[in-house]
Amino acid sequence: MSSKKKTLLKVIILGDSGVGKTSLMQQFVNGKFSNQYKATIGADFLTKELTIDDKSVTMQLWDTAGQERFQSLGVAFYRGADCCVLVYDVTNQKSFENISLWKDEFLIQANVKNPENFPFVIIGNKVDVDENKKVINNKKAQQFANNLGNLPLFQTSAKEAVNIDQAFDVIARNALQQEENDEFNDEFNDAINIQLDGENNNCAC
Amino acid sequence: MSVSSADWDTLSMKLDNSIVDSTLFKSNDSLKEPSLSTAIDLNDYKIVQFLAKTKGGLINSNFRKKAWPLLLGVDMEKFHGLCASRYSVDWKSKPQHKDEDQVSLDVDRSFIYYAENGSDSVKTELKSKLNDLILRILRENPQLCYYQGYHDICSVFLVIFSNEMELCFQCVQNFTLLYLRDFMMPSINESIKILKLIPPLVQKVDAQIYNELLLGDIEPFYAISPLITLFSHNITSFSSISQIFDGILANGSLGIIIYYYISLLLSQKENIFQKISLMEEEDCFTKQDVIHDVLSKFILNIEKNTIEQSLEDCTKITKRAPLEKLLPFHQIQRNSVLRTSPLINDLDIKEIKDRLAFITEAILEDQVEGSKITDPSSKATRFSIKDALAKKQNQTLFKMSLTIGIIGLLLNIILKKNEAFQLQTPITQLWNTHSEIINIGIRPIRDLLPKFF
Repeated sequence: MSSKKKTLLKVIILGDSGVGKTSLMQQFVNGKFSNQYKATIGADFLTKELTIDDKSVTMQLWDTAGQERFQSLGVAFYRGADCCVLVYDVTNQKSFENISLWKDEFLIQANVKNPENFPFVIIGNKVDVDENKKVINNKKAQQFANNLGNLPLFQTSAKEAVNIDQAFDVIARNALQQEENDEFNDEFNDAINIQLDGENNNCAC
Repeated sequence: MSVSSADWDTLSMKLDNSIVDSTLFKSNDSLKEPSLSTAIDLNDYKIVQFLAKTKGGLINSNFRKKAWPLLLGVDMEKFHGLCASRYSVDWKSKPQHKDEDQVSLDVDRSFIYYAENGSDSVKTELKSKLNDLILRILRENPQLCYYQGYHDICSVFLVIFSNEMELCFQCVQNFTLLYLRDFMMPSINESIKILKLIPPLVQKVDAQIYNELLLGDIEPFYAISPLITLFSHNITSFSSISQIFDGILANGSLGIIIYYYISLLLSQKENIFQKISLMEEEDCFTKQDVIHDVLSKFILNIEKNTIEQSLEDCTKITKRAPLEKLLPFHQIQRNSVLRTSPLINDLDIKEIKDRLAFITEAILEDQVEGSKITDPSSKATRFSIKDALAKKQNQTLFKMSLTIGIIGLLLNIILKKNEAFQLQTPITQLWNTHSEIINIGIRPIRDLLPKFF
C-alpha cells in the first residue's frame, strides 16, 4: 500500500518566536528572503521535491507559531513527523536555552515510537549579524548539541543563504532514514502479525 | 452633509416599525452618507448600528473614526473632558507586562498589509505607535495576556484613527474587553473552545462540505488565525477588513466572525473541492494535511467583492443556525464573550456601557480564574454579566421565592415528622413534591439552611 505513494518526509520546525523559522523555510524552498514575513499564527506547511541518492522524495516542512500559548496545537501537526528542526537565534540567549524545552515538548506531543533515536537537527540562525551582537558562540552551541545526544548542528543565515542547503540536506537524509526505519518496522510488524495468524491456523488444525 | 428632517423621520420610522432590510440603501447610496452623518451627530446608536450592517458598512475611515467610538460605548463627553496628554503619559510608569518582549517581536513584523504604500518612515512611526498602544492596553489591564495576532487587530484601529492616539486607545481597550478577552486568557483553551463551534455549524449549513472535508474528524485549527485576528491576518484589503470590524461592532458580538468564516467558506466551496482533489492526485499527503492546508489558506485569495458579498449573505446563516444551539457551545465558559455578548439585533448604547462596566468590575478576574480550570464542567464561575444585570431586576422576585422556599421546607419537615405517626395523604405528597421542586430551583436556600435549622 505505502509503496504506491511517493515518499513523503514530514519535517517540523520549532523554536522561539522571531528566530527565523519562516525565513529558513522560505530560503530553502523558494530561495528568497524578505523582511516582510508576518508572524506565523497556528501552523502551515510548504513542500519541496528533492532527490537524495537517486531517490526522489517530497519534503513537507511544517512552520509553527513560536509563542508558547500555541504549543498545545502541536498535537494535531507533529504526528507522523520524520525529523524535527530546533531553531534558535544566535543573538538571543533565551531562544538557545529553550531548545531543550522545545525538544521535550515535541517528544511529548508527537508521540514518537523511539524517542531516543528520533532525529533532531539544531540550527543557530542569523549568523550574518555583527559579531558583537552574537551571544551564543560556536563552541558553546557545539557542546550543547553534543550533550543533547550528538545532534547535528548548523550555523545559518536565512537572510544571506548561508549553510541552508547543507542543513536541509542533513535534515532530509535523517528524515529519510527515519521514514525507512518506520516503514521497515511497520512491515516487520505486519510480517509478525501474518505469522501469528498462520500459527493460529496451525493450532486450529 | 445632513438629511432633511422628512427623510430622517422616514428612516427612523422604518427602523421603529422593524421593516428595514439591508436593501434600503442599495438603490440609493446618496442617502447613506448624509444619514450616517446625521446619525453620528445625534449619537443615534441604533441608526449607526443599522447602517453599519448595510453593504459597504460605515463607508470610510472618516465615518469610522466617529462611529466606532459610539458603537464601543466610548463616552465622548468624558473623553473630551480628560486631559488626554497628561493621562497618556501615566501608563509608562506602570509595571511592565510579562508579554512585552513578544509584542516587540510582532510589532517589528507588522503593517505588511494595511500600510502597503506607506514609506519606511511612515511605517516606522506606525510601528512605534502600535507598540505603545499594545503595551498600554496590557499595562492597564494586567489580567490580559498578549497573543500573536492581537497586534494585527490593533493595527487596523491605528490606521483608522491615525493621529488620534488617545481615542484609539479608548476604542481598542473597549473593543478588547467586549470582544477579545477570551483570546487573552492565560492559555489558548478558550480560543479553541470557540473554534470548535465551526465544524458543527458547517454541518448544519452545508453537510456536503462537512462530510467531504472530514470536518468531524480533524481539529479545526485551520481557522485559528482568521478567528483570533478577526481576519486581519488573512484579508489584505483594508476596506474589506474595516467592513468586517463594522460588522462585529454592529452585531455587538464576536460570534458574527464565525458566521463570516463559514459564509466565506461557502463562497469558495467549488475552489476548495478542486484544490483538494488536485493535491490528492499527487498521492503524497494525508487527507487531513491537505484539508488543513487548503482551509487555512483559502481566504488569502478571495476577491474583495466576494468578501463583501459574503458578509451580506451571512445574515441568512445566522438565522438558520444559532451558536447557542450547537453542542460544543456547552463547553464555553459562563463569562465568555459569546455568552455575555450574544448576537442580538437591537442592542442599545446603554447595554454596551453596562456590559463594559460589569466586565471590568466583576467578570474579568473571574474569567481568568475560570480559564485555568481545565475541565470546564468541574467548577462553575461565580459571576456572569447576565446574572449581574438580572440581579437588580430579580431581587424582589428572589425575596418572594425565598419566602415560598422556606415555607415549603418547613412544611416538608413538619410533614416528614408527621410521617412517623400517620400515612401520607395525597395532599401531603403533593406538598413534598412541591417543596422539593422549590429546593432544587433555589439553591441559595440550601446554603441558608444551617442558619434556620
